[in-house]
Amino acid sequence: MKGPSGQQGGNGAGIAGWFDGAAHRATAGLARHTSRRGFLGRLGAILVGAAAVPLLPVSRAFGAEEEGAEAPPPEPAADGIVEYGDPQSCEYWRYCALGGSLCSCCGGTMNSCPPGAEPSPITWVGTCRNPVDDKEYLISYNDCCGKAYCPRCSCHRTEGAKPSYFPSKSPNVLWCFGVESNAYHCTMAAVIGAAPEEAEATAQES
Amino acid sequence: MGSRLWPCTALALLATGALGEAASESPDAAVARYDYLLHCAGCHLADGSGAPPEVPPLRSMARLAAMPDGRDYLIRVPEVAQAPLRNARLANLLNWALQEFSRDASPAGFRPLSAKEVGDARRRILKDPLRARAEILKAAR
Repeated sequence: MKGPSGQQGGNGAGIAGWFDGAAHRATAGLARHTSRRGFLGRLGAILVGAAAVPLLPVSRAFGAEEEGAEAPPPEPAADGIVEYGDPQSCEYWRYCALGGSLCSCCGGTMNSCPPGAEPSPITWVGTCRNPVDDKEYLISYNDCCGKAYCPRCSCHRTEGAKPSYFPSKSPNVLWCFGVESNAYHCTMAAVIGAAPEEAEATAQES
Repeated sequence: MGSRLWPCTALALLATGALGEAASESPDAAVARYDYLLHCAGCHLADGSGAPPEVPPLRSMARLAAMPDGRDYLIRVPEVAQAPLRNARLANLLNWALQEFSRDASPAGFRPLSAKEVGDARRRILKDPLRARAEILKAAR
C-alpha cells in the first residue's frame, strides 16, 4: 500500500515511515491479543470496584454501633482505656461535664494543649461513665490558657456538675489558675483514674 | 521556661501515676485515693504538691494535725467540711492523706480521725480559715 507520502524520499520520510511501521505493528499486536469486550469488561470492573471502596467495612463500624449490631471491639489506647467515638464531638463520653471549647478540635488533644496555649495545673475533677465498659472514670478538665477563645468547638454539658456556688465541681468556672495568662482558650479531658468498686458501694451524698 | 514546663509534667504525672498505682492497695486506700483525686487533686494535684502560694502543699498536714486545734482545723477547712462525702468516707480520706503526703512527719502515736469526730467538727463553720491557721501555728511555737 503506497500513498502519496510514500513517494517522497529522503531521511525524514524514512524515520516517519519507521514510526508508522512500529505503531502499526504495536496496534496490530494489541488487537490480536485483546478483544473490545474484554477491555470494556475490565474497565467496567474498575469503575464498579472504585465506586464500591467507600462501602467497605471501614465506614460500617459507626453505622453498626447506631443500629445496635455487633461492632468490632475498639482498641485500647496508650493509657489502657478502651473507648469509642469521636473526640472532636461534644457527645464524646469524656465531655459529660465540660463547659467551654474542646481542645481536641482546636489543634490539641484530650491530654495536650494546642500549640501556643499553656495548660493550667489547677482544675476541677469529675467523673464520666465510659459506655464501652460501663465504668466511671475520673476526668480532669484542665483548661488551656494564654490564647484567645477557640470558638470552633464550643461544648456545654453538665452531667454531675454543680452550680458556680460550688466552684470545685463547676464547669462554669474559669480554671486558668497558676498560669501566666488568664485568657481561656479551650479545655482538655484527661482520664486520671477509675472508680474502684468499693467507691460505688459507699456512695457519696448528693 | 521552667514555670511553663512544670504544669505539663504535673499533667503527665496525673495521667500516668493515678491509673497505675491503684492495683495493690487495700479497698479503703483505693476509695480514699479515688476520693482524693475527685475532690482534692484538682487544686492540690495528684501528688499533694499543690501550687503555692495559692494552693498549699499537703506535706505539712500531719504536723498541723499534731498541734492543739489542728485536727479540728483540718476537718473544718471549707473544702474539706463541704466535700460531698459521708463522715466515714471523709475520715477515711483524711487519714489516708495524712499518711500518703506527710509520712515522714507523722507524729508517734497519732490517733486516726473517726467518723464521729469528723461529723462533729464539720458541722461547726470555720468563718476565717487563714486566721484560724495562723493562730494554730502561733500557739504551737
